[in-house]
Amino acid sequence: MKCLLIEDEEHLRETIAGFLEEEGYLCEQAGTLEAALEKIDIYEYDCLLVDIGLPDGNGLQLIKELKSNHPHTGVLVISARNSLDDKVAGLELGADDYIAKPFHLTELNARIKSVLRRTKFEGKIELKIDKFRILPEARQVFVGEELISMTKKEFDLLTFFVSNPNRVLTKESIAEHLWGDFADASDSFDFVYSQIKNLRRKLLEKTGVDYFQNIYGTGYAFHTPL
Amino acid sequence: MVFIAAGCALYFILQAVIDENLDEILSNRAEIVKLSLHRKVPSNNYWSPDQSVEIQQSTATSIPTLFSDTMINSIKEGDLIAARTMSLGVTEKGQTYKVTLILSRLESDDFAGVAFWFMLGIFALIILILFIFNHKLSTAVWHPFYQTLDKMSVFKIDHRDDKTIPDLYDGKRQSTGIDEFDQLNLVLNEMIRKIQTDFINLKEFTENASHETQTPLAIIKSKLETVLQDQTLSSEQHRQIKIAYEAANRLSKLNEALLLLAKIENQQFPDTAMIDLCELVKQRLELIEELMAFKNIKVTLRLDNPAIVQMNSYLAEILINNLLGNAIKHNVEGGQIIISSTLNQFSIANSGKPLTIAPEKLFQRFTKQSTGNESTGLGLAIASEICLKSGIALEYDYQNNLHTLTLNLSPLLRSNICI
Repeated sequence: MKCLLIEDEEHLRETIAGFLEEEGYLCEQAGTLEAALEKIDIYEYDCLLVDIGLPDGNGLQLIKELKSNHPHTGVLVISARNSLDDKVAGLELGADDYIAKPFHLTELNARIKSVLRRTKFEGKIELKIDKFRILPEARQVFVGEELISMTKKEFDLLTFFVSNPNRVLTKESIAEHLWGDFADASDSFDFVYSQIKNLRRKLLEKTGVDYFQNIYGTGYAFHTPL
Repeated sequence: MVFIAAGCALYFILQAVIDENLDEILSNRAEIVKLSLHRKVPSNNYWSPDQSVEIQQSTATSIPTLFSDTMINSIKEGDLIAARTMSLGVTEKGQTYKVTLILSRLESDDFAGVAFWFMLGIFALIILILFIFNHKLSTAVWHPFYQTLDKMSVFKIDHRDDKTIPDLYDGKRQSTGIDEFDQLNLVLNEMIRKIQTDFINLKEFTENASHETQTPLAIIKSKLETVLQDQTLSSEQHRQIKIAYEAANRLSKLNEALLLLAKIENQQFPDTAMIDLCELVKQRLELIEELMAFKNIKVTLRLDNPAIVQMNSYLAEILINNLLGNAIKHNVEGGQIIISSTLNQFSIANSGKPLTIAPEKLFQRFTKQSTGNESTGLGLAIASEICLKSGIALEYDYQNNLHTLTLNLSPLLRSNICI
């Protein structure tokens, strides 16, 4: 998957690009609106990550242009927290999703994957992971032909992990993915722990494999055989 | 007032003058009657349609001279009419006569009436003209003032499109023709420009601060997260990094909350809509029902009335989130949350241990019930500020082990002034 990352802050840009490359994306970078516009003209991308607060112009302009010329490119807007105007404007211009800074890279990853599923395959996709399958649109998990019952949060958890395989997901990033603003209602970490425990158990029962690894004090990792 | 008093005075004066006039006529006639009695010319009781003379022999010793009003029957008019009478005593050669003279006052009264109403009419006309004149003058003189008032009342401090900011002079220096109003407009213009500049400055500041601080924080968090992936770290190193990571997260939340608070105080959320808090709360509850079940918190909804408020929709979400989050955070295992909505009152109550801080300080920044690190201490401060700016009264109460936060949505509290 080919991505274009448009972000003016150099270190952040490199961090995100590095992460995405690790995840298997081909990630190109642009530090200004102008550079980005040039690149879009020449190449076709699967996904665009646009930081709204660009120094030489508003990233929103880019979205408009892009969506009119390349309607199948997914657009993810990076905005500042509580900056509603930009976020709303971005979505209205056709952006597929937004993420607010500061974000967890794992969260970014999950959102990109979700956007790609929607734009590339119109959501009709089946994720096959080792011994089980996920149907994201239907929100169902199958082992063979058997449907595994899951709560909403358990399902969200599973897709989050599956989007970031073999990575340590901190409990903060998990909590934030599940609840956004409620992430700091106390005990949410304990809740995460108990949900993962349930999820782990269910998968173990049906597939015989324990995919989760507990990283003491930090979080969890989901391991898929490579 | 003055005219009414004058009118009354006029009436009485006219009456008095007429009476005096009539009395004089009667007195003159009385003299004639006296003279005729003296000459022993037989004078009969004489009467005509509007006057009469009556002479009666009387045995009274003294008869006072009296003027009075009476009603007599007039054949000409076919009805009773008012008349003035004079009665006196005349003694002639030892015989006392009571003489009564009656004179109709109809014509005199008519005359008085005409005079009176004419005068009154003139008064009324004068008043009317004065009034119209005054009003026209007033309107002409105060016109610029009302113009200024109109422009001020539609002034809103937040305008994304600067062209819509009303300039009191409409771009060109116009004089109203009245020095005082020119001065007023000048001063107002200056004040408005200053307010707008301050507002824009503060808005830009918060936007920039937001952007500038969040970027390095994003870097810190991602880098630390990346290092945490490293399996070759010693457990001590891992622990240190984890602490740094958690601190970065806390800083991030704090930063976000403070900036939000600044924006709310600076009225950077001007758009409003009719929001039903009950619907919002139900939506949020759906998202966190598993969390509630996990903590064994029982939620009771008593939403008898929709809680409709005219406020910014984003802020409404934050408000409900904060209040609900608080209700969960400071709850106990197996506790409860009761959300009720009655006419103009919306409240969220949660069970929990009594406050360790003074209730008055509850809504202040950084006042925390728990000494734990998870909360920023700004949740209720933000909720309180949102309520303030949205015209909602927020109150706290603690009874029967229930902490209750009540929103009073009474429309009387809301004001539409946007400055």
